[in-house]
Amino acid sequence: MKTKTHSVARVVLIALATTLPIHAHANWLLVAGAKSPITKVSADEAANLFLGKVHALPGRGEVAVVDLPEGDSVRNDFYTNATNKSPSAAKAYWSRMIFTGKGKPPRVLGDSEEVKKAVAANPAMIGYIEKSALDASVKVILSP
Amino acid sequence: MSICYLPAAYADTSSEPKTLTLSGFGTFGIVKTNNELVEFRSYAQAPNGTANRWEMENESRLGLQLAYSPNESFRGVVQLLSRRNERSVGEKSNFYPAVDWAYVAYSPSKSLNLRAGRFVAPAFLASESRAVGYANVWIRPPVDLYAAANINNIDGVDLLYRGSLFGWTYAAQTYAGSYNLKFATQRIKYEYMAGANLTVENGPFLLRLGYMDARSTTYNKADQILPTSLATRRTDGTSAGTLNPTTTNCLSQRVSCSTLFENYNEVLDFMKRDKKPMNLATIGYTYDDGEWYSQGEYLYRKGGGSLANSESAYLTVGYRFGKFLPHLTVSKANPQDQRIELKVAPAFEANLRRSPFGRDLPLGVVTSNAAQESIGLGVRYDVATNIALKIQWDHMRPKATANAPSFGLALSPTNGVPGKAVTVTAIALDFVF
Repeated sequence: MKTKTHSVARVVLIALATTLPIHAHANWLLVAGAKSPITKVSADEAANLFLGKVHALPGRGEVAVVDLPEGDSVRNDFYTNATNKSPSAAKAYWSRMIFTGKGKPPRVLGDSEEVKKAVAANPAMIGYIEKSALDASVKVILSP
Repeated sequence: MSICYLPAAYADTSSEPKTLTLSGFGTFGIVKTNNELVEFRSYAQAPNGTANRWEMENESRLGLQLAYSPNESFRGVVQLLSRRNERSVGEKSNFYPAVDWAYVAYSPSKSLNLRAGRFVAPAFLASESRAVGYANVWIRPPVDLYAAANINNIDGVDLLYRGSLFGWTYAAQTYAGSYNLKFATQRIKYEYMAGANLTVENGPFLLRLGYMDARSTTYNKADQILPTSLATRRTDGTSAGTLNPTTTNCLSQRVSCSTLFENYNEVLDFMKRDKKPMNLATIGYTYDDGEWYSQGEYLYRKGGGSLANSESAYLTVGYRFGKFLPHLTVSKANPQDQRIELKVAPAFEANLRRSPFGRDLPLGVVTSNAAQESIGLGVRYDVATNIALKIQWDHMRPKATANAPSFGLALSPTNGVPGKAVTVTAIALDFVF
């Protein structure tokens, strides 16, 4: 009986561990340009911005977001962490938005280098990049 | 338009660099019931349904969207939907594409969007995306609610406002317009449709409130307002023949029905769907935390004339195991139908009682009585990020009301015998591009 309780507790612990929002292994950093007035966004704000539910942040004005291409592992990690949506679930969400005229997905840039260049040049833009791409042209506003 | 080369001080929040985009969606699906005498209609405009032989034409469709945005403020969209339509005759199917959406949108700011043209009436949670299989968990939204109102498009205007408050985001939409909805044997003219809905979201939670007000008139192919005659029932709910206003020999009494029954004209006028209300009040939610998925909706439909007031509700619960999402749905349609009795004129009462029709008395008419209970089980499998494979079983049980038996919703028994429960099986491959 005791072993059974233990194994149940272990299953529960493992289930909890896999659902807890600890994604330290995820390879993404949300960045803004080094000179951008945007210094920090919450995970919820990031999700709302990238899902097109809001286009502005309180006190920080309008914000533009850029995506990496579909299938990119950094993009998949970011969406899974920030929006709790798998690539398919995110695609289903955007299909619903596009074909009902409710919104358009963010513009897509080719890779982390392009995202860095774009956000460095535009103080109102944010984007996610792979961890190793971080340099002084951008600053981290949310990490996993 | 590329943002990369703009000067550093310039804050640009434009989103979509492309001016012209082509996107599409589609479904290849097969469907059948387990009863050769009961047809299931996957959507109301299909000229007929599918019985117990696998049928591809009623469960397949293709949509194409062409969008043009010359700048951030203006957008023009045309969206065609090709599926077996009301112009199909007999065995010959017609897939001629219909203009499902065609509008010009103007956004004076990021939070406000105004549209004019044709769009899909946002009556329920999944109304607007009902044809985009890939966007939905099920093969089709639960018919006990979604087939309870023959609402499709609107030609008119709408306004969408988005914002956030106390950590919740919201979207408020209001719209008005009219539409002429065509079916194989009739059409419904909505001369006045107006509504509003509010969606609030926070993380995995979404709550939606909606109301739509419409006046509609139903015409047959000869442009006569339906019903043109009274389909009568005995007190036990069984059918007792049709009383036509043009006959001069009503129930073999050698007089018109309006002479034989004191209130015949009054009842026929009451039943006619002539500028009668079809008002829809809904509350719905979705919960999606990436693993658990749940959606539910309640509808109160206010009818008028032959269309009874009705309640519908469904509840879907699913759980994602990787790329598999099994889900279970229970649903119910509960019309509040009423029986209106026909009063025989005293001068004819004795004769009518002695005639073969005497044992049917008292005769009455009953407003729409599509009561049904269903349980559905399905699985969505994400084959790729733009393809989903689904299989679904729906067990649908038409339920008799106090006044009459029910044919159910989306079901038509080809032998005219109501009340037969069926299981509908469907397999669908949904894609978007």
